Amino acid sequence: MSKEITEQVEIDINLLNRVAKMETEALFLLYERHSTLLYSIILRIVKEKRTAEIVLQNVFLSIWNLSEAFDTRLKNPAAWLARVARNRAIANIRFEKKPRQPSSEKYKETHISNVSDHPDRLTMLSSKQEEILIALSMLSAEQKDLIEHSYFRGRTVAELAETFHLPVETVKIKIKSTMDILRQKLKHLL
Amino acid sequence: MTLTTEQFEELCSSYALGALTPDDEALLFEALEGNDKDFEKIFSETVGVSFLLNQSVISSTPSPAVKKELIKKIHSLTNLNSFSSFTRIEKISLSLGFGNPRFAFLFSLFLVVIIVEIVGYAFVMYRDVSDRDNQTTETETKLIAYQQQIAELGTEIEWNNTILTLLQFPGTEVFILTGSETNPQGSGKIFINRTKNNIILQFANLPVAPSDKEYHLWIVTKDNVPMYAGACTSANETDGFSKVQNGNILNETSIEGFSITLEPKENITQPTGSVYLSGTQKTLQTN
Repeated sequence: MSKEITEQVEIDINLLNRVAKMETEALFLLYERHSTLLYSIILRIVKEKRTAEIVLQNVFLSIWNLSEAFDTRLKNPAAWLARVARNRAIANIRFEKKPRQPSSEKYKETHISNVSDHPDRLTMLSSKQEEILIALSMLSAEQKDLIEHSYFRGRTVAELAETFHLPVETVKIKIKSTMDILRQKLKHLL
Repeated sequence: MTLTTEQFEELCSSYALGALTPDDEALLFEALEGNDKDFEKIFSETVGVSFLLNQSVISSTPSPAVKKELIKKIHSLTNLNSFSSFTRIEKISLSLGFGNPRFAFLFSLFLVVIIVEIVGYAFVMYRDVSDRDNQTTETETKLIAYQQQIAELGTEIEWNNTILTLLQFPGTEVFILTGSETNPQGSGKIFINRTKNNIILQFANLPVAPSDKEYHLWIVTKDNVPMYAGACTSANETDGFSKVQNGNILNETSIEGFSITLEPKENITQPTGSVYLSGTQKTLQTN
């Protein structure tokens, strides 16, 4: 973990400890630090702004109530928060039991992004985001589909096997090789 | 079951993408508990990759209304937690006839009925909890608030019963304390029974003391000399009860009144800070 990431982790752990002591200010500081990323993840999954806002609010309420507690195995509170937000968004779309379509308030992103797909975004991206998009663009269409259907649509390995008409073991191997590629390409960012 | 590195990597990758079944997840964490450094590194890196995936999505900012609504909800929860209904209960107690054991029983019964109703309502709320995420969270929040209210009410019943019992004994003195210019909203009472060696302070609307200070109780003698009687409130409470552990009060026969001042947390012999509550009026001496 780089020095910068370590510092950010320490700040977040300190804020979570203060939240556990019922310090409202700490929760609002956590919100300031992470709400944009969490909201972006949730919106990417639920595809409706109002629903995404409700889910985001519930994420922070659950942290305040301590019904969601920091999973120390994840080491990084930001990663844990992102996982909580992703899981809550997936729970929301699973409850709806129907695939979300972008609502009248258009949400453009419907699949794993490539740099080449969004030339207009390039100017707005940080170098880190650019590197992530470049790494993703090196994946095959099938590998991108696996990430899209699992991470952003909440399908389990068994459901992926059904979707892709593949044995469960093959799906696991394909997921592993996909993550291996990303791990190699993005190692310096971890 | 011992996993090979290959199998462990497969489980980690599926876990990182949130695609693992609960059984496989249990297997993954069982393997991690073995404290294998290589496994820990693989896990950390793979989960790290999934965190980076989040940063590939189009960045969107929630509307400011979300934060406003969150602040409102959190503050209403916080206020509910710290809310003390003693003043309300005190009025009910007085109108029922303070000191009468029968009324004390009825009063306790009344509170028990309220608690049962609250628990019943919480139970009904619990049954109504659907799988819908936002509804679940709201209900959880309410349940926690009710549980806290019940706990607070239970504590208040205990204190009220203690005071009611004390008032049944002859010779119980009651001093009424009022807020000073520094704290005009404040109020309090001190109940003293020398035979039973019991001194109870009840206070309301006392501002939360800064971290380096605390409230101290002083006896005001007939010669108008302040005599130290100890630190007197629990931390961070604006309303509540406190048992005063100080023999000076019981032995002092020339008590004219009491005052409460805010002082630094150190050994003090004389009051130096502002007076927050004071009172010389002895309103009741039971026979």
